[in-house]
Order: sequence, then structure tokens, then C-alpha cells
Amino acid sequence: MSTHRNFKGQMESEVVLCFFRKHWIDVLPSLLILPFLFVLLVGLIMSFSALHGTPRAVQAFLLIGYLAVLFFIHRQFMAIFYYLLRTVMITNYRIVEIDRSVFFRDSKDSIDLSKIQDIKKIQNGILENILNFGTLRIVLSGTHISANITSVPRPDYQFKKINAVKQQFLHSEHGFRALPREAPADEPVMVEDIV
Amino acid sequence: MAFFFLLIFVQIASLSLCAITINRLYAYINRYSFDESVYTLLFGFVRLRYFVWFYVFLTLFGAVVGVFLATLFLPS
Repeated sequence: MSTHRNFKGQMESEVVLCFFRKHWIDVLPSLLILPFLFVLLVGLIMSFSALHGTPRAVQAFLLIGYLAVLFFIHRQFMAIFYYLLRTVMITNYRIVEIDRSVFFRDSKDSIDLSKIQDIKKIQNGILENILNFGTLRIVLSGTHISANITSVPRPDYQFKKINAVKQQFLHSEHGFRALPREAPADEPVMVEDIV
Repeated sequence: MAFFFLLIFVQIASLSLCAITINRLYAYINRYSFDESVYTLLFGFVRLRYFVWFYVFLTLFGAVVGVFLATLFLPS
């Protein structure tokens, strides 16, 4: 049943402005292994007639090979589905990283836009620059803690998007409420305010 | 004969795993849907359902190969 929501825990007034998955380089090994597995299965069925006269030891060896192929088929598809379900969402309130797989993982990490002090885009190495992916390092305000979002595709776009959304958030009514109120220059500062 | 039953059991387990996986996957996707675009699709055009179809095909093909293999271990 559709809930008209984009992720579990989405707030009523929360809107997903942009989402992305990790770069395809993360899923490439799983994609490359699949054709090999298919070829192995085809090879097994093609040589089936020749297997009848072979000794039991050879047949048992093939049986183990077949079970290994079957295991890897399921394993690689689990990895592909994990890649497709793992998303990063930029909403009007926060950045949410969904770490979800079909069976084993259901985690979520979110960073409020009001907590973001600085964002760094890191693209080091030939591969990252040619294939256009990188890391976004989000430095949280008031701490030295930073959160890394790795394998971000088109990091320039995501970098600008997060900055734009953050500026929009800070200038919105909600953002102003989240910010500490500054006393005007001519207003005397109360002791309670300092404490 | 033991190998024959082992292979049949593995086929049933493999097909069941495939069915449960797809069921869980679509349960989640239907609940939390996205508007995919050329920027979010894998390589700009590969949709999740293409992988699902390939997964079903490969699992079924694997099961057929398994049944053929199982007949090797039947007493003649």
C-alpha cells in the first residue's frame, strides 16, 4: 500500500527536494560477475550429455561448483538490490541517508540543515574526476564532528543543492526560529542571556 | 540418491528465496516510491524491474540446470 511518503519517518510537512544513489562504481563488481555466472550455467547445461559417463567424483565436484554458482547468483542480486535501496535524500529540513537492504539492514542517518556548519566536496584521484564522483564532508556546527557521504555522483550539483537548501532553510520562518535570537545593538544585554 | 534429494531441496530453497526477496522488495518500493529521473537511474536507463526480471530468469534457469544435474544422481 502506498503511503505517499518517500521514506520511513518522513514528517508531515517534509518534502524531498532531491535524492541520489551512490555512484555506479559501487555496484560495478556485482554487475560484472553476473554474465560470468550465466556463462557457467550455460556451460554446465551444454556439457550435460557428456557428464553421464564420468566418475562420481567429477560429478560431485560439478555439484559443488553448481551450488557455488547458485549461491553467488543470489548474493550478487542482493548486493544490487542493496545498492538500489540505499539512497540519500535532501529534504527541506534535513539530509537523510537510508541504509536499507532486502533482509539485513534498515538503518537511517539524518543531519538537520540547522546543524550544518560547512560542506566540503572532495574529489581526489583520476577515477573520481573522470567518472565524476566524490565525497561530501558535512561539518556539524558546534563540534568537530563531520559526516561523510561517500561515492556521491555529480558532487558539484549535490554540493550546490545542499548549500542552496540550507540557505533557503535559514531564511525561512522555521529556520529563523531554530537560530538563536541575537539582541539588537541598542538593546541592553541581560545577565541571564550571557549565562 | 542423497545428492538427488539435496539438489531438489536446494532448488526449492533457491526459488523460495527469490520469491521472498521480490515480495519484500516490492512491498518496500510500493510503500515508499520515488520519481526516478535520468539522473537517478543506473546508467541513466536501467530500472529496478530489469534486475528483478533478470533475477527471476537466472534463478529459474539455475533451477532447470539443477534438475538436469539431479537426474545424474538417480539410480539407473
